[in-house]
Amino acid sequence: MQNINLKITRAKNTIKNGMNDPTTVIMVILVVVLAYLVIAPIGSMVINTFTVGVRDSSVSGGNVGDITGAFYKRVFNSRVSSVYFYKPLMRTLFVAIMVSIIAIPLGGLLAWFMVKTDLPGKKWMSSLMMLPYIMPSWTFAVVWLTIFKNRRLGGSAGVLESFGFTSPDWLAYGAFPIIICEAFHLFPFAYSLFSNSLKSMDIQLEESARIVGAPRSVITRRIILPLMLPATLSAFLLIFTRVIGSFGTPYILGTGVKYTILPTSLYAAFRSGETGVTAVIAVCMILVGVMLISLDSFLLKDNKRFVTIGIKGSIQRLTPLGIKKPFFVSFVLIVLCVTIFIPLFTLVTSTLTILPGVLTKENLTLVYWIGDTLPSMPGQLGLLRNPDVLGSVVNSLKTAVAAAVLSGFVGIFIGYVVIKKSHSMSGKFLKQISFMPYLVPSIAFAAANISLFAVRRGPVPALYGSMMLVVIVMAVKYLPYASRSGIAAMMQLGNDPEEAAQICGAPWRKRITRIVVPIMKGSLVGGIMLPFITAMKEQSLVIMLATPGTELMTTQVLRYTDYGYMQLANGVVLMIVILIIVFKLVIEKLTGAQATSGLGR
Amino acid sequence: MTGIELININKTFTGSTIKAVENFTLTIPQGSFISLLGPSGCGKTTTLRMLTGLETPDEGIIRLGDKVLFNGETKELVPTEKRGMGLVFQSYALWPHMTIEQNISFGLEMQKVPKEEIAGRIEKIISLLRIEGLEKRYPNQLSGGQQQRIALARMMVLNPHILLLDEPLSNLDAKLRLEMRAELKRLHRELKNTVIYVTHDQMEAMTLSTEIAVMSRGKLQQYAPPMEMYKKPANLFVADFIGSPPMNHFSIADGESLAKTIMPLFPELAEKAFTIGLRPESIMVNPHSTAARENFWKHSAQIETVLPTGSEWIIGLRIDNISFFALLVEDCDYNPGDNVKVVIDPKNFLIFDKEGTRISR
Repeated sequence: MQNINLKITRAKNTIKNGMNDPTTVIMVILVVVLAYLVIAPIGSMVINTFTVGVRDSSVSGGNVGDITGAFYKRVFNSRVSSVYFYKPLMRTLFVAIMVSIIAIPLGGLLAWFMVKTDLPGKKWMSSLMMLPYIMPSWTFAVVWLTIFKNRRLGGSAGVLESFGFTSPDWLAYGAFPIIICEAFHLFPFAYSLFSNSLKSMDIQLEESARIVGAPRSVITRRIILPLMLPATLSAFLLIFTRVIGSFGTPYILGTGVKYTILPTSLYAAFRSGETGVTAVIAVCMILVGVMLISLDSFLLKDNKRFVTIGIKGSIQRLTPLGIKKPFFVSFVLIVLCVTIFIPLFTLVTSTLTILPGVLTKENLTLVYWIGDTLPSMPGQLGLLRNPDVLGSVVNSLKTAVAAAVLSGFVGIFIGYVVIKKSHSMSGKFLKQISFMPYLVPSIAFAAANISLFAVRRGPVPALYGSMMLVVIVMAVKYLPYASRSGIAAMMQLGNDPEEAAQICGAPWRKRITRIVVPIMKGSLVGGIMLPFITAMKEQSLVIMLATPGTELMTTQVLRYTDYGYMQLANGVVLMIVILIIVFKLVIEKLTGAQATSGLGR
Repeated sequence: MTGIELININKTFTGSTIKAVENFTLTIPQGSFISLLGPSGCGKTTTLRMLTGLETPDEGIIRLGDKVLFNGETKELVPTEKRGMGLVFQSYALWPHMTIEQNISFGLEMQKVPKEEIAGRIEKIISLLRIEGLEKRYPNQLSGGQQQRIALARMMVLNPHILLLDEPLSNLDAKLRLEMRAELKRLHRELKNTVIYVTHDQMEAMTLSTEIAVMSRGKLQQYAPPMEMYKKPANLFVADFIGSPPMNHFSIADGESLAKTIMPLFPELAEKAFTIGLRPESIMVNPHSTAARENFWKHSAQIETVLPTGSEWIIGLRIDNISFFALLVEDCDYNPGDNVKVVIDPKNFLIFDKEGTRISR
């Protein structure tokens, strides 16, 4: 009897103690919700790879719900497997390798100029290099099409066409422009990897080599370059991951000539209603993605052992460029011109000219912005009066803000729980799971979510086609950024400030509202800003989720390039970039926090 | 009576197999100044955190007066925010988004002290801790010593019966540390609350405390007033940990011939003796004939090193085949290689058995 009483008292007290500290409750909720939003979609898609779906029976035969190997067979071993899988896979590899060959030396060279030499004008040049972080990855593709488009596709003519030059197909579409555009977009990322690596390299390593009598060329060759090896590998893997995850560029430049890489192939399969095949391709992409990123983090770990970082106040010794300076300066200027000024200039002028690129007075026009009948675009209104465009602006802002705020706050709470419960299994699990979306290529993640939310499951309604699904998928996909910033901030903060409040007698609610959230404000802004910028530019993730009612600015761009309405497409791209910049400035002004300080990979 | 009682406390952290705190029992009388002393990782901070409720023990009982704060049997637990203790963190943990004034008043607000009273109490604590003029500043605008005082003020303004300090001086420079030590002693004398002080610095523990509890690997090694701890260490660990320069000791196996000259002085310990210890200051080098009594132990030695520190000399000696450090306060002009005579009062030999327990009186 006494034993039972003791047990009851213990149980009562345990519950009472639990209620005093809701961290455990929050953790359980987060684990359950995230497990459903991260693991369930992928699980559901894996199931789709071997069960007959509603629209699948023409491929696999059998009844809906039957188990079948038909989809794997179709992807890996059938008449169409070369079209669906092998060719796109080989092309993906080819594009990634070619992009690396261009972007890594270019990025590395620029990093060396900026960090290690006395090149003039470094400050504004390096801030220009940040531009690709706020420009959508497929901007170059749209610009490319604007310049080189030939008559193969309908719609308005390309710039070169209006000067009487018809570009050949290989120049206008397919592998060549895809490689160039991806390389232009990605070399700044390689640049920042290299420049961080160069900056963190201990100057004493170089100095010791000088002391033992090595000339500069030998130091570069035998000391600096070997130390850059990890950054090179990282850059290569980053480029690979990006190429696998990018949809816009290959779609805009490859579709016309049927040059498909894995993401566009997945989209094509999805479009033709082959759910099972889509799932198989998506699973393959996820596997490749996971492989790449685990390889990268493995190498990064190695890298840490390799390079000694963080000597206080290390001063960079700059190599004088000497008489060759003008030559190097013009090299850097040409790179910046080709990769930044010309694209931006084309983007802007194309929306202001009837014959694209012809800057004569009678050719200039505002009709693409405010007109009511547009030359060779039947039924379209100028951008600022066009209900499709304005609707997409509203949709984009709504979804991006909702997704960013959602993932920002969830990220902070994940950080809070992970740090408080760092010893518990669930805490570790939560940390792992919040990083998982990072491993999954965007378009594959979208495919997974469509397969999960296409039908009602238990209490969860069918969300396909709703704005809600777009927001959820975005918020989950960007959670790694937000939770990384949340965990880092909480780690830095530690438990002490909250515990100090607890000692002072503050109950949990007060500790959260008066101590934790105010201190975390800066990182919260970062945790919202980064997802917001990414969401505004997002195409891969939303292309399959967007339906006529939920068109976003990015998907609207694709519709316009499909029709060949390049002026409108460019106009929308410009609007995206401007909105991002304005939002960033406003937030920074309002909060006083440097929102992009967490920008990186 | 609001003394603290810890009874048979055990704590193992999740994911660890080592007991952070093991069978820990301690009674702390009201108004005392107790130091928990030990190397890092010995469980002293864990003990402190269990006292505050920030950490929950696996077993045992914690009592404050006749109030139970924790009972492992019934899982009864008074949450931290209701224990009314004060804790000063090693990192100070000042809230960076609040001014000094807000930092100090936060706890009073939490206790729903009326506004008029808050102002008065802040003013009082500010003058007590001599931190006038900082009220409107933010923590990052203050020096380490000022931050330390604010952290102290933030807790002391709440008039806690028990004030816990977790290595509060370890982030300060040497001079400031000395000042703050004196300050802490003054405050304790004025306020007469119970202070529990965690440190790995034996000097701090020795100078501040009424009692010291030395811990190692989660276990209490000895609980005694400072001088008793120094003169009569319970075991080799305590003897070794307290004292600077540290105690000399050698195992009888290593210094067999030397031990043969010492052990006859302790015939009753011959069986169990395993290690012989000697404090540096109890070695007399070439003493005046008046200082060396007839029954003292005498031996020849050779000087190995001479290290003047300013106020004293640390002399490295070789006696037989064993190296010793001696601490001399009077001027000396020895050189390495000099032969000297060492004299030791037999009551200064500390003798330990195989387990390290002191067996000499």
